[in-house]
Amino acid sequence: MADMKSYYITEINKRRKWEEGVVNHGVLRQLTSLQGFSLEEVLRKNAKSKSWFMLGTFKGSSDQAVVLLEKTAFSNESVEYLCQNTILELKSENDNFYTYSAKVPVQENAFIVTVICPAKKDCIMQYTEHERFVVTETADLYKKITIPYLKEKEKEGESRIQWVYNILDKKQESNRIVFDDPDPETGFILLPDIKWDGKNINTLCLQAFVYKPGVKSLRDLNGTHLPLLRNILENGSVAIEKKYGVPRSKLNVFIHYKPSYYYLHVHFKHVMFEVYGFEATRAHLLIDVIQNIELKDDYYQWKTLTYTIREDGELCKRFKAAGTYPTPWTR
Amino acid sequence: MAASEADHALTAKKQKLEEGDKIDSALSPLKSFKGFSFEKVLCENAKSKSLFIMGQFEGSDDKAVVLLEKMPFSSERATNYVCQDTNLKETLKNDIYGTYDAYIPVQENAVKATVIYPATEKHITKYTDQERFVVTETADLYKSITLPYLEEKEFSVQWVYNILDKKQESERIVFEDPDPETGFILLPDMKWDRKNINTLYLQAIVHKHGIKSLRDLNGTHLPLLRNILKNGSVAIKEKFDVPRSKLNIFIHYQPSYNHLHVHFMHIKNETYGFAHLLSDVIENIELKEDYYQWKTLTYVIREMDELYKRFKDAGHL
Repeated sequence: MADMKSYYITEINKRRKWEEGVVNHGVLRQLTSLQGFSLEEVLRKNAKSKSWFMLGTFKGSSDQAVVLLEKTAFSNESVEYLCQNTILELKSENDNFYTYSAKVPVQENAFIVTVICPAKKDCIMQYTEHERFVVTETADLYKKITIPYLKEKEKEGESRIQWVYNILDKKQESNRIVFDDPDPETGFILLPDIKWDGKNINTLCLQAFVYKPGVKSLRDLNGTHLPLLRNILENGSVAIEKKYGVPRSKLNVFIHYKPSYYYLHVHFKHVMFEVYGFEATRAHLLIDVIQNIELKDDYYQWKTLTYTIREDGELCKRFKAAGTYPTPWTR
Repeated sequence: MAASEADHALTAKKQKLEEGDKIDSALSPLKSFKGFSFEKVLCENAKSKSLFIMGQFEGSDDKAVVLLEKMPFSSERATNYVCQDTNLKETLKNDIYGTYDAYIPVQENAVKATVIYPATEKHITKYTDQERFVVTETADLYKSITLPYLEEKEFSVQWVYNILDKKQESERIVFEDPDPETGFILLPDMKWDRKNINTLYLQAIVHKHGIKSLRDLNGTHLPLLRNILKNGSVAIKEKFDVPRSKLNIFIHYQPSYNHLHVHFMHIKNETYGFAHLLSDVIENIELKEDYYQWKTLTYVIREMDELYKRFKDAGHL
């Protein structure tokens, strides 16, 4: 009981940290152009998704910044307007295929810029091209390797979840909330993912954040969380249908493991989004999570979980050092 | 395109030119979409930022298919137009994250447009994307809808038996364990060019007949599954020097054909479909013998799939 109380106090203090002016509002305070951005390195180029990840600094600040550029998808609604206002320049023709370079109206060809500043080392690494490695994290290896690693990261202050606390405390993004159930045990906040433009239904993408502190990932889920998980699945889906007209049959609802940050959150994505398919090694459907825990209370403390991580990262070094991992197939 | 179709299209074009039809003579140096009436969107892909639409040009009965795609940022010019001339409009700010809408000069921001005209039925079908639906197939729904459907259709897997009997594709076999209960054949998937290691893709096809899918797997199949996982990985390491740590090894549900097969894909490949890792399948069956007869399985089907109609008619979609 005393432990729980001190735990809650720690969590609340963490959330208040931002009020002490820890958060750097410097560069992002009033960014109106990229003119002050000095490019240091292009971290990754993706020709398929038409995106660029850059590393550099802004004038007047010594902090490193990661700047992500991504072209926007075409908007279904403005096709008529697009057609009427596009200028074409013929590049080549072959039989009945004519290829043009098209100048579309400026407002139809925006791109999205995301600035992360200050960007710490882990963040920069996340956006850099790298080789990946499949890890088979048994229950044992989770305790021996993953937990200590996460504790170290937390101590180093690599906590990247201040923004989650800001959302839960309604200090940021409160005007974007789609659904809010404030129950401290089973409640959650649902709002659009910052990557979604909020308009193109086919790319609908929302996240649900639980109010209950201390649930870091899938690994922490057990029978006591079933009411919470069922609540998210049911009322999250209902809220999305109500607000956006997207029924359950068009939604993929899942949890990532490993997650990109350690505060339990559930993704709601339109089925048309992942046209290329589902990340088998990362996405765990919420309906499966619930059913597995109903079968076995401690399913996610027992289960071997497989996922990919950076091969050049510290965590991978530790998994490799642990030797050839005991896996189901060696039995 | 087939020769006959091409001929037809050319003849039709020639005729129209001769008739002085302004559409075709204007199509070549088409300066804009003026006179183009847009009928419908065929496909939109938010990942690749493309949009395929269909419509007609004024005065012509023929359809035109227009493929639009945003261009990747250009290396040479990005540092110029992006850093210097880009104005930002803030949309969101939270802690260390800020997102902005950006607009850059039109001349730096061309979009690729391909016009197919006249567009045949084949073109239209090719570029049309079907609507997708998420199916939550409970154990009961499997028995009442999916299984009867499979039994009714009696999908032929004779081509699979031909491979297993070495009547076809025997020269492509990478590894074989002939055991009738626990054995399998491992061979490259048609989609892999067998040269680029980053796109490595093989399939292990079991010798045992009658295992239609994941749904049929139970405790008696554990030796088979462990064998595939272990010896399939070993064979790939030996033949292609790709270790287990670079492989996604999984079963699809629903599978593309109803004879048990396991996919071995390099992690650099983009996977598709709803994949169940073989190591997870083994562990789940070890936990509960009839896990896959009991479990609700979720997957995506398309509007044109017969199975979609069955689920819809039964009121489950």
